[in-house]
Amino acid sequence: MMDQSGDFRTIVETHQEKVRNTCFRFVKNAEDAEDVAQEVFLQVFESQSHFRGEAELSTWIYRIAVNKSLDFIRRKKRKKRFAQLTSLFGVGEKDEVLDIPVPENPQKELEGKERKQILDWAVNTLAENQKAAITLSKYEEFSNKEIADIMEMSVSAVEALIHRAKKNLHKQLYKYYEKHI
Amino acid sequence: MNNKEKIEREIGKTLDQFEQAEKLPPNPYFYTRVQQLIDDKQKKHSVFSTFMKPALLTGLVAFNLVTAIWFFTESEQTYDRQELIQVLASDLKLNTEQNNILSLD
Repeated sequence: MMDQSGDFRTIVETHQEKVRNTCFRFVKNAEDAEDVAQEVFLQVFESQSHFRGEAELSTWIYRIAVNKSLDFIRRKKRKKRFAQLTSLFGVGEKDEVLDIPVPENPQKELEGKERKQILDWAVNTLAENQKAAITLSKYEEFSNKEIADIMEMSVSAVEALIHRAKKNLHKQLYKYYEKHI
Repeated sequence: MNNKEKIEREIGKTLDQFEQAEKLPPNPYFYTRVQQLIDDKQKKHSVFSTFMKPALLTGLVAFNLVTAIWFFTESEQTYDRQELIQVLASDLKLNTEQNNILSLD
């Protein structure tokens, strides 16, 4: 598959944009997304012997991208929890953690940027598999079949996940707007 | 418009942000960075294979040799059978006046 460096370069150039953007949807930060995306292709390079062609190459690559992104988020959450714990004991730097966005002026019409923050926050409250399914579906516009291949589940399982994700998103946003408008 | 309708309107506008999602600009240096990561990793692996593995192996073998030599030189004193049993018995607290169960007489 990738015994020539030219092949690997072609693979990177073909998929890098979508991989970078997929990672960005999960990690929400451009620099972090670049780092995670680079790790994705590093793993693609190192794991080439494990790829037996059971799935499309692109499916395999995006699966690695989703897994790496979710790993990154988990690591970040652990660091955050540790930082919060140490700050309780007056150890380490005090980081202001703003989890729930608060509109500057509840009377004023929300701007797109603020709405995006609210949506990001709501998506972040979802369970991992719901978050992954809705992110791939809504942001990256993968079809349900493609998502099923990436997440290694059936199409009906993906449809159920997306349905639950939309329901939970609506619930979270309802609670949020009930409080803030 | 009642409150519920207001909330639903806000939710709708917020969910519309899925379609407005920003994309990362293209990165012309991306492949170069990936190749650099690969090269760095291969260099580290090569240093480990070339120096550390043989050094570790040599160290282990040397340690085993030293231990074996020390063990056999310390074991100069050998017990005869009766003495050995008495040593074991005292370790296991079996050799008392009332209960010398290991006496072979």
